[in-house]
Amino acid sequence: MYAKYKQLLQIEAGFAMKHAKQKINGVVDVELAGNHEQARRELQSLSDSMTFSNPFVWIMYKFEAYKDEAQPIRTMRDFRIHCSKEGDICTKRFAFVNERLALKGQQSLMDADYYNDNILLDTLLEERSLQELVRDPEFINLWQMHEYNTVDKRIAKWEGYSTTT
Amino acid sequence: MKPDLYLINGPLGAGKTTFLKELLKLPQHKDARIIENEFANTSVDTEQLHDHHAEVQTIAGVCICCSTGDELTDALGLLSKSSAPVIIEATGIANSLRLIEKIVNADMLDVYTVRHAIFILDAIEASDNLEGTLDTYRHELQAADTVFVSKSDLLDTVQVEQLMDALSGLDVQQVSFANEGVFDPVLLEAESRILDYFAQLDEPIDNHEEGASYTVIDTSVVSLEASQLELVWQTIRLEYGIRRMKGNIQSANGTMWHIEATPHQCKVSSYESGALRLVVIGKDATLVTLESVLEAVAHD
Repeated sequence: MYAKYKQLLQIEAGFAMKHAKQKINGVVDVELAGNHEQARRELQSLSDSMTFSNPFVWIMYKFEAYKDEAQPIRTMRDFRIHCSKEGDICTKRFAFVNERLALKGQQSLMDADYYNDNILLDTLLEERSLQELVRDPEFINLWQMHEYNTVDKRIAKWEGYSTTT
Repeated sequence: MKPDLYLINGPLGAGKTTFLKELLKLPQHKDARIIENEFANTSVDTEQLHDHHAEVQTIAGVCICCSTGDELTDALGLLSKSSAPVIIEATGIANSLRLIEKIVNADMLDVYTVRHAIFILDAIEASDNLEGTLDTYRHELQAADTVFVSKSDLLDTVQVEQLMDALSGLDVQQVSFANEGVFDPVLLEAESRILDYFAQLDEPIDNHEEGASYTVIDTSVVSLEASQLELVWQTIRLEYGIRRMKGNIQSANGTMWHIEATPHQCKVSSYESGALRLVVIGKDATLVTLESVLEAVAHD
């Protein structure tokens, strides 16, 4: 799926460049603008359709998929930044994991003293508290309920989850 | 009247912030607002701009040219209410043309006038591998309205002549010196042509110089002596294909040091406060960890 995402990213980049060139030249090309918007929507849609059955799959996906990028997600610092954009699905996933860790009396992944910025994500997966969390059927049920959520057959993952509650 | 927009780009450690500090001394820029893009989630450079009274917006943790988010557009939108100039200082791996593309597609040309695009070229790095450096930054050099060469005072006359000859053969708009950030402000009066360059470009834009990735190391958790880091810099550099390293460390007695390392030198200066982070850029930068640095220190 990431290969498809990269392909779409490339297509969108092509439209973005053409679109910008036309704007500079004062040309209004409705078809190009439409294609650009469509490519952006497809990218978003593909991104929305990616689902992860548990947090470990999610974390490792982020680690693997971004490893050759200029901005890889390798460390706790990278991961926290990635999961800090308000309203983003990864921000909700991250908050949910932290919320459930707190309920179990465990350290939050936001606790930079406990999980310092330099910790590698694959090391994070060895954390006992996280392993216990992923083995908890109640947690997994709730995680998957949010992850596979649909509304009227529309993908609506994590829509019902608010990071402020 | 639309506010003027200035872009400052160049590799990490080339002297962008030093240049910016000089730029802000010009009367017409005393109220300029700054968008500073930093890799580290706390700026390692903002401290240097603390004397500037106008607004400094730091976009941290992402590179604005390749982020799919709206960080740049949001910041530009926020700063568009006043007529004072806005200066964007990019990260050390940003692509100016990608920035232009984002600015144009976000309709920011309705709000701003692109006044001047500046590229800072590190003379020492360029002189060491003239052909390779100019090839790596070809589009940046050609697209910039002025290429300012920094650190040329550290080269001999022949090396400087070779560099300037090579640049003049590259069809750059204007080239001049900016040692210690000092430059001729008249050059900034030239009309910007970066939009025309972008419009005529017939090849795709790469987001970053080839193979460059970065990592940020939290140095707050260890004590490191500046002299140790200076000693092991070449080891780390060669082992991981690192091009540059910049940031802050703290020694056991609490002294803070600002580090700026390029292939040729590891410049260390004392520092009063700032984020304890090291930004590392290079081929396998993402493999550089705090442990690998400490290991190199231990073996030296």
